[in-house]
Amino acid sequence: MKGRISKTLESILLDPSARRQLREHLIRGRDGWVRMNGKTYRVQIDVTSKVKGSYGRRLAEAG
Amino acid sequence: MNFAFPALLVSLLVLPGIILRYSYARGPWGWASPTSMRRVSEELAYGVAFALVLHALWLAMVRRLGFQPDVEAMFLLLVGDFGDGRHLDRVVSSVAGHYPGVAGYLVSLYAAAAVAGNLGHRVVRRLKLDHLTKTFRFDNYWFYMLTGEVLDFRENAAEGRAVDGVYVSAVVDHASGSYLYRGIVSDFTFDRDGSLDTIVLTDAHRRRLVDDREDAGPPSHIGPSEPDERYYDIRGDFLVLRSPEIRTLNLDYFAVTLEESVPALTEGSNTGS
Repeated sequence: MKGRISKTLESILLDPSARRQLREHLIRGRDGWVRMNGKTYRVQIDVTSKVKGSYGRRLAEAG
Repeated sequence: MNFAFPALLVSLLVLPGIILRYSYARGPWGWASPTSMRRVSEELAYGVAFALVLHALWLAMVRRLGFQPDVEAMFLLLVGDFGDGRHLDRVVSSVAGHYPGVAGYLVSLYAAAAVAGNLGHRVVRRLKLDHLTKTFRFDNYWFYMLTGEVLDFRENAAEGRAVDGVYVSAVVDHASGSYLYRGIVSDFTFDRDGSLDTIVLTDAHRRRLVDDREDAGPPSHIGPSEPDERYYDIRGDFLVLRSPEIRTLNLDYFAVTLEESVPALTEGSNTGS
């Protein structure tokens, strides 16, 4: 699998409740927290916006 | 001598350069790494250039080992002009008499080119040279985009933030209307030309595109929140989106970090798991 899925994310995806929490944050595109096994994980979305600008343009140009 | 033989000989001589380029661009089998394939004409031009260098190096090496390859005979074969047969006997005897040597030279050069290409690919990836400079960057933007490695590029002034996942939103048209498919990138594949072929999503969900709305949404809090009713699950472990069917694509890079101390929370906090 070439996609980047960290061990932490993998464990969240295996937990149905945590996965639902994560999904709601991702759908809304907002930072938040996920509770799993008594631990709290911070979800930070859009770690950078600069990249989208330059690379998005290049991809659009490439079709 | 007919026209086909010099063409065949040229192919045999250029092949090491093409093998080097190909193995460098693709990397080792099973290696999660960018692949970049250019057009055949471009590859051929690179192949000729690299083949010249490889032959120069390989000829020098075999001479050091005590062999004396007949380069002049090879050029005569390439040109196909034997001066009314004056050089024909010499060329025929040179090739026929040293056939195992000629075959060994070519086969060993092909193998060396494949190994060198793979090693070059590994070195560039291990040392992250493709992140540092465009010179070493593989011609495959999709790989860098879909793995989040694009954030590590020096010109993008990476903020040192680790990416734990890539969240994709893709618009796909169906007969019943357009749908927004969303999920976390698990894998992706390329076609023979190196273009994006499929994106494999995990935790995939979708909704109709017409259900767009301005959503202020509740403030973030710990634990389960009200699910967005517009979306529904797509059953199955993975969803495969075919690239030609994707109309537009949006990527969100996100990080998940363990919080030792939870900040003051908003109203309606829910710490259930």
